[in-house]
Amino acid sequence: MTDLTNKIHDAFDSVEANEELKSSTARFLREEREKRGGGRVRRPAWRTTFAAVCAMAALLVGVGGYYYTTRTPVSYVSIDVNPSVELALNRYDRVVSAAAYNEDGVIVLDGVDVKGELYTEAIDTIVESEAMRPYLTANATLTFTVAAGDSDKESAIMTGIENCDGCQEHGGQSYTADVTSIAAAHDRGLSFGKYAAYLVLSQYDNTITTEDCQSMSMAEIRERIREQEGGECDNEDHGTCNGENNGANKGGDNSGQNGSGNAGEGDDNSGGNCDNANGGNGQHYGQGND
Amino acid sequence: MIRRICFYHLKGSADTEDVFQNVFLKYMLYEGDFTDAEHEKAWFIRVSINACKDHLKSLFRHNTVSLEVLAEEAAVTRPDYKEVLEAVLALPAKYKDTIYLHYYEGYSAAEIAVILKSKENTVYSLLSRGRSMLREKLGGDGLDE
Repeated sequence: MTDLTNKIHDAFDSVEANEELKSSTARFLREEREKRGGGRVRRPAWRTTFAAVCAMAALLVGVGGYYYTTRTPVSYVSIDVNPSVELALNRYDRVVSAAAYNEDGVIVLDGVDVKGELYTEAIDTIVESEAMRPYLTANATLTFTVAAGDSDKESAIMTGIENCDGCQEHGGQSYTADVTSIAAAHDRGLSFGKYAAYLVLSQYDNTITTEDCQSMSMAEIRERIREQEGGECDNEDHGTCNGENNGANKGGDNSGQNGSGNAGEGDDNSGGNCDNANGGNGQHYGQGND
Repeated sequence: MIRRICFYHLKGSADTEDVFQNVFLKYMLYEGDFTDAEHEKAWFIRVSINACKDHLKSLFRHNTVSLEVLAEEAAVTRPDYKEVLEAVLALPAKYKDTIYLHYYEGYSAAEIAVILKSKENTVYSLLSRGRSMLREKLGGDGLDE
């Protein structure tokens, strides 16, 4: 999203119905309702009350509904390298809020303002920011985790992410996670992306704690998972490794999310390890409940 | 949303109140069903736009934008917002809806065509020309396609 597009969005955001207008409209609707009922047989009091309540409800639905649809997050994207950042998206896939879940994340978000941007643009803004650059080293693992509680929505968002310049240039991997895990992740001071990786690792290593993961980068967590899996394909749940690894079309198919696809051999990768910088994506994190 | 549509059509706050109330009156009296929230929202958009146009037809109004009008918008305090809103308000009426619906509400050209009961190609060309006009007024790095 360009600066000017943001400005249009923000400028219109500053125009809204004030309380005076809302209450005068509610009053007007009450009066209209009474007027329209005035020529008829007087209705029982409960009906008048019910009508007034309906009118108020209609007003609240109309005024509040808009607020609800544009400000209420319905899907989430966790971006984890070492900085851990989460984007909350409204139903139009625009960023409602961005939050950091470690100190590096705070540094990254300090340098950018992505509120109101489409998530793809927000991801490019964040990944390509000056503040993120030091973390995106050759050994880093850029991970995107999507949670929306709706597999179609998650699939659409993952496809969008995988086509982002920022994702492609830095070999990002994308996963889905259960939306119900978000609160648990936050309770433990982790982004839900890192928490999802922790859950996978903890299946192999019950000594690992969320505190340990807080101080580990995603590359370190993924490396530990790989070690535990004995260097096999990085498909901790139903995941796929789509072994094409061309970096340009990174598993946008849905197979990774419904767990039905192509258990990966990573056949064009070195050592059969699918979890490399350019491949392995479209997987579902978590506990087999996709 | 209704307030914003009234704002870019009507500019004056007194007119806005009339239309705003009328839209909700229509909603209160509407007997049809909405299939979902999106349908309901599209209904509000269409009715609000039509109510604004009807209101404008019924009264003689100056078709100019002044800083005074925007000054009435207490919430619009930032100079850069005022500049952007003035530029949008100064667009010919036919461009405003598409610009607003696309850049604020996030609707695609196809969706806007359905809401405005227009042709998709017409929406594309309105968006394209509207963008050019905004670029001329505001400069900067332009708008997304």
